[in-house]
Amino acid sequence: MKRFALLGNPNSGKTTLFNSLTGSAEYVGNWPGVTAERKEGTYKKCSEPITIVDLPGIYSLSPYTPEEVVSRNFILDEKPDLVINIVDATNLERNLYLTTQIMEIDVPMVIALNMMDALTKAGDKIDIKKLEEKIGVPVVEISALREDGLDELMRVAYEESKKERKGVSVIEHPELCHLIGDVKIALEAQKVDNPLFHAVKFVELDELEMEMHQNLVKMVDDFKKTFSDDTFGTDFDAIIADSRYKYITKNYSPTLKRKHVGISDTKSDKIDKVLTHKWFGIPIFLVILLAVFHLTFSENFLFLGGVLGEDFVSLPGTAFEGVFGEGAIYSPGVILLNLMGVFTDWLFGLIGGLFSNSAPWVQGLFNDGIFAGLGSVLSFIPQILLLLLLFSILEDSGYMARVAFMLDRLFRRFGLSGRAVLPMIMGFGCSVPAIINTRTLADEKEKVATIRVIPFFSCGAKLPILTAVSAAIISHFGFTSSPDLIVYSMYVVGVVVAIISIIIMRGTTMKGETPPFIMELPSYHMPQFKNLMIHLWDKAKHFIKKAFTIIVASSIVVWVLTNFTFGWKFIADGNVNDSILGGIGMLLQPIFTPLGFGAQLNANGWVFIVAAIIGLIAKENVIAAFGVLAACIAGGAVSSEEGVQEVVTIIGATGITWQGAIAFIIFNMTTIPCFAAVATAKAEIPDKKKFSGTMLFWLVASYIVSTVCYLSLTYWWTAIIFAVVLVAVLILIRKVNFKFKKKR
Amino acid sequence: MGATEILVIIGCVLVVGGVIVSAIIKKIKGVPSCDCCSSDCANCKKAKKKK
Repeated sequence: MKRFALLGNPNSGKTTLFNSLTGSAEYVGNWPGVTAERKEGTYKKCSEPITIVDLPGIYSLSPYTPEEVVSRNFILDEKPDLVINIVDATNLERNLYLTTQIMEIDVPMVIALNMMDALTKAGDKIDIKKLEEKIGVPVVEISALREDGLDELMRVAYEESKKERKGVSVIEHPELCHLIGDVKIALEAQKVDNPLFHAVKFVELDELEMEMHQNLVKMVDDFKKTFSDDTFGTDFDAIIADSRYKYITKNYSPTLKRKHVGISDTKSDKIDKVLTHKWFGIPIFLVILLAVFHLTFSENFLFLGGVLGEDFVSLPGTAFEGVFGEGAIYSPGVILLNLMGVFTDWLFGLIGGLFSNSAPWVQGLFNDGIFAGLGSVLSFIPQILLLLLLFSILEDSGYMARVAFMLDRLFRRFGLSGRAVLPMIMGFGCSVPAIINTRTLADEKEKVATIRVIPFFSCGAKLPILTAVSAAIISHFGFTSSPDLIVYSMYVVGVVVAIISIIIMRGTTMKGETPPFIMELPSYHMPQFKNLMIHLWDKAKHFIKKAFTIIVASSIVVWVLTNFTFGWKFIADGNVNDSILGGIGMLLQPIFTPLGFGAQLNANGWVFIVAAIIGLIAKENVIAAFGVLAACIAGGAVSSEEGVQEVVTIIGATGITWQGAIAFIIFNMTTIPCFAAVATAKAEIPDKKKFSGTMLFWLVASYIVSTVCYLSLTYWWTAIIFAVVLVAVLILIRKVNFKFKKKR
Repeated sequence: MGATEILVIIGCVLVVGGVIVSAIIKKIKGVPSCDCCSSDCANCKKAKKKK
């Protein structure tokens, strides 16, 4: 089967094209560097199926980061039948720099001129025929987003793949051309593939090439002694780059006719003046974040509480009583949650009815075990999806790339670049792809530090814990506040813990220079419906699959362990403290006393420890376990209000304080993430010591943070002590590092 | 014990056993145990390929 590679600059639309060609549903984001590894799919509309390989975006074939190495190695080592070079038509000159490098490789190529719709909209034009003539390879106009010109692109590509193409160079510097020619001859003698490309790279003094052909180093060194350039001296890399740009300006740029000559602010520039403002940028981001949480979690939507009559929204006497509001209109997220709750209650009631004549333990297993656990998790899916949808809109519009840019200023002070911010933002969705995305970080220590803090950016699976426990705190302790404020505060706590951890790590065990952060800001555009749906479908599948496998299995195990004693006797009197799980939980209880949910709680207090441990498999398990345990404690299924009533029951039965409940949320947010995230972290941190250190870090960090939180909220004066200790530690780290630097 | 109870027990054993066995198989095959269905996830891809 033929293989075509998609290669182009970051954010030039490769993955969008890949999805359109192969019918795949790969994740597309509106920022450079979303694709960190190669992806394969099949195009079936040609006379024979063609494998399409989507490669990470690169600016040049001189690799600096691991994902750039992936692209370069694929083209050179795996020899695709053709390269489709995707060029962003709105940014022609810069994109063609990579084209001039691909041209040096002995591989057939076609240029896909993407975003032609945007170029035409701006009133600009490209003379395609002239450009094709100058470059010497076919150029096809496309719009990957609108799927325009794709069939033509593949037809041309297929025809072109049957031909052979020898590499050509655009470098016109006479002396260097001579040297490149000599090196090329020497490489040809050594039977090296793509001799022209390697010769140019060698003359550029590319580190990889120098290592591979050490016998040729002397040739270049001798040449250097006889060479001088007024502008760049003997910096051959700069001379060659300059030569490429000169060629592009002279030959390719005239094919572009701009409507407005000169520099004028685009629409994106105008929006950026407000959204990325030096002083207001970050406050605006926080307000947007608050709005997102308000839309998802608030029980007083738009603060309309009291304006409308209670009966207007509570719909008394109907099946939807309290679904849309009670005294105030609920936010869309809460309404979705309630609607799903009504649906699952109805469904499980229907199925449960089938077992009404069965043995009590069968009824208990279904009603208090499987349905209680499954229902607690399923109810949250629409709310989680709404939150992810809102984040996806921000991401797809191009705003999240700006957030990384703004946070670069802040994070740089703590030792991380803005590049590390992008995986952290992805962590709000799921830690697994976020951890994978850290491979775009070239510095190993920066990468490990980022992986360690990613779980602090609460993922979708932790959302049920946040919302259910927050709502239960408000309901049980009679606070007048809204649950969305607690949820928002928890997210902020997560970010603050991440920042403090970064400062400590980068000042001690993970010291290193902060690499510069250069990112091309994508233009703002309306989020694409298809992209959003792909993203949401991915997540929905993920949650549903988990619910019907791990969650059901865990609910069964939890129910069995809560209803049987160590002597394997069924507990008929509801005294779950005699159960197997109760025994294990009580054994571990003293360890969690400083965190507020340990030995100080009454007999049933062990349920928090059990739920947290089960949550290590998958975070959704925490709330599923609460559902099962609450039903067992109450001696029957607790009327489900999407997990809230279950948590209220548990709070009542255990006597936990609200401070302890908050510490419990924080512990789950910051502790070792789910198995999947741990496995991914292990794959991304090959060093065993560093991986063990990461596991230990998660355990210790969650223990310390939860303890500090519980004690500070319970005894306010301890907050002063903790603040003083933290400041002292930070000052000490700074001083020691300053002395160390001075000594050096 | 009636037929329903026996079926329920078999069902539970199959569900719990299935989850455990699939995790063990993944471990033996050396595929990271990943249940994330993200199309962006390298581990899921590896798991699919190995299957």
